Amino acid sequence: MADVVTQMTEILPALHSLTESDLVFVTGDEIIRLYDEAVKRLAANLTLFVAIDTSITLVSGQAEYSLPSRHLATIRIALPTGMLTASTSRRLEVKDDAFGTTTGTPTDWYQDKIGSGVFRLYPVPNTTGTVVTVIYLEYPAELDCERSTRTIPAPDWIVDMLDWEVLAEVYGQNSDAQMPEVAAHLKQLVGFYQQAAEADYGGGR
Amino acid sequence: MIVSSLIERVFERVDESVANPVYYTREEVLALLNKGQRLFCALTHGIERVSTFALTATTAIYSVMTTSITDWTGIPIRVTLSGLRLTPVTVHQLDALKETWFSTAGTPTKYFSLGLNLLGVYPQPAGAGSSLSITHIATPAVLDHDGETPEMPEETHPLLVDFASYALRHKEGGQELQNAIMYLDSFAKGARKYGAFFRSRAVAQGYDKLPCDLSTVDISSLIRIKLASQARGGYKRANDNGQPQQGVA
Repeated sequence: MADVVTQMTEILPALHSLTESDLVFVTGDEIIRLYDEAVKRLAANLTLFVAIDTSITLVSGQAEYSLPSRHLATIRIALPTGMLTASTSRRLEVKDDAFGTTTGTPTDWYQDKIGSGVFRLYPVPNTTGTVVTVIYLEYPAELDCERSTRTIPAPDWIVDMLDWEVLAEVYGQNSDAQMPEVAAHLKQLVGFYQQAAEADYGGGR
Repeated sequence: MIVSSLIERVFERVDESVANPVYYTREEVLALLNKGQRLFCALTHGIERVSTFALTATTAIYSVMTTSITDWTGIPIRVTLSGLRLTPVTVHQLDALKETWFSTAGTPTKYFSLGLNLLGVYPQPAGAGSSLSITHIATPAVLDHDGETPEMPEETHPLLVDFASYALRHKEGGQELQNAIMYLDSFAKGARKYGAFFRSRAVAQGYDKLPCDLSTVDISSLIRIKLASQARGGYKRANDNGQPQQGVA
């Protein structure tokens, strides 16, 4: 776990500054935004931020439910009786013409052709109250410039990779302090970190 | 080597005064020594720790990092329950094994990890009171004062000096960074050598997860910096009378 303001302080010397107020070619807020973007890329590129949600309960007659916030990809959906099968509307249509209205104990879930941010169950639940467990890939809470959300929930060595990524972006920006060769090199360094991280955690969605 | 000695060696490499540094600060070097240590340990899986994790009745999946193990990196390498080793599996394998694995109760015999934070067991514990003993790859302790010694093997400490000496040059760029790349090359070769050692040890000890095989990672592009070509012609230099001369370097 790391704090984005602490990380920013750590990379200030590489930007010829000892404090945030010394910065000339970039601001502290810009650096935080760069960290936020780097964290979001990290979430998409590595299977790192996997979460479990148990806040959804079945409602009789309701097929569609909202996915958790900051959801990137669904890994599994389960009821207390067991895992549901990941399916598609096309497969369910072949199985049951009336798949959108058939009621029963859910055995499958699908997310296609129904818009984003939701999933549906087949058959449509005919009971209320059963807890639905969703295991999913997420991206961490947004790091904001107000400094209220500051946590980067990653191991320290992965956070180091984010430091290099942010420095690469700053050195690559069009300014009097631009150093494109350093920016290009740091992107290679980030790629090196990423290869090692993929071996440990697996690629993203 | 202790931290103060490492910092001094880095300053000597970059021709900086040890007593009164001008271009770099001790804190800056210390931060880079920590980065080098973390990268080395991540590449080689050199730091292992054993932690205890309590299981809860009728719960199959647990959050680890946010619960109890503070230096957790999401990489368990051996998990036991009451001295018996649990078999590592994937969620997909459990789906193939039994449809209702998620709700099956019993004495755990298998485990899986998902991402950084989630750890699951199958079957889920029927009752409370059991604990897992997890051998996992850990983050090295942060170096923050002069008398500390890095957790890495002593003979690898010069690699930290190499990494910090290289990384200090980032903010200078250009030829200075290009000249310092040899230190990164030295660090990478050292990590590759010790990574192979730790990897073969992990294979021999039957660990569930091996470190990245660095022999398959191409670092040639990493240790080569292409500098922007300097402008040709139009360079003005004053003559003895202070008048600019076109095209004279």
